[in-house]
Amino acid sequence: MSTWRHVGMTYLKYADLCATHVTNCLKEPRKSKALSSTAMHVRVTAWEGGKKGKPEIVEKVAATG
Amino acid sequence: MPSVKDLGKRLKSVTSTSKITKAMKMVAASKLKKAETDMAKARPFAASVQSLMMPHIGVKEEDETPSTVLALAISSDKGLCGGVNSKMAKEVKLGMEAYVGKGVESPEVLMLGSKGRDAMTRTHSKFFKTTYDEAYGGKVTFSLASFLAEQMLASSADSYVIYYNKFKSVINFDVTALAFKGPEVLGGSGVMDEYEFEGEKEEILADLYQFNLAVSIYSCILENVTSEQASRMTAMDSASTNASEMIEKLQVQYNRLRQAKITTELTEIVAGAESV
Repeated sequence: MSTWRHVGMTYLKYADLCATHVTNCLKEPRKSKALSSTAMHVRVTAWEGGKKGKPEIVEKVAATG
Repeated sequence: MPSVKDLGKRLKSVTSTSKITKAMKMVAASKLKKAETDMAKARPFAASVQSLMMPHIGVKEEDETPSTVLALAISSDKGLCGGVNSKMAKEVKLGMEAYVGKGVESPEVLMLGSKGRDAMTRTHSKFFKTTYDEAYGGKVTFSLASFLAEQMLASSADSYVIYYNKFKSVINFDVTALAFKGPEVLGGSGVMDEYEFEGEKEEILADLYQFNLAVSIYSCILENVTSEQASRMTAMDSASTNASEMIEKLQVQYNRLRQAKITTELTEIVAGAESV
């Protein structure tokens, strides 16, 4: 079994991690440009029985290397 | 009857609204071009993965009704874009009610975008599991799609559905429901037997399922963003046309009223001069 699978990582997380590492090998200015396309920001709100819960911010900043 | 001053104020207000809608149309047109390019780049990528996976995981008409359904509805965070979000919300409401009618136990919705959430909150909030907003502040990235795919897969379901606006042309986009069977379906015998796998077949198929879902979500978000910009451009164009027509009518009304006022004043002056 692959190590990443063994530690409970999903394929998507593993692929994202690999992509970040490959991107970090690039030289500037390509590196900054490529890293900017991996960032994300989202406000997540869980709902229970039609009632809104407390929102949470999930963020992935560009420079995660 | 409005006064000349009132009409002047109204004319000024409509003129500035028209300037705003014209500027918004220009902004939407430029954003549409960018969104279309991004969407065109993602389309073949998604199509190739889907062509491999959909024959096995795609929902067909003859399939049995699933017992659990999880839907991801894609809307936007900003308004003033015609009926893109309301149409999508309407379709999700109908879809969820249809599932309930078929006997599906509490179908759930993950809603991306605050406009779709607001359209459904009053009457259909019981279907919400999680809502996501502020996601469109920057570029739409594959990381966002991966995050949403993981959120979907965190809740086990027999069927996953993605509701989004499929972009056909600047004036034509339809709400589309892309439905997949749950990942368990890949465990059946005879699935992709024509391929040789290096490693455990089940594990690779499970990874492929995740990847297909993330790619599909990414492509659907880009399609929805493009439809939103196209709809906004069309809506702002119509608003500018309406404002121009209104300005024209108001201008005629204003000129007539102004002329009538001048004529009355002149008549009064002449009458006054005659009486002296």
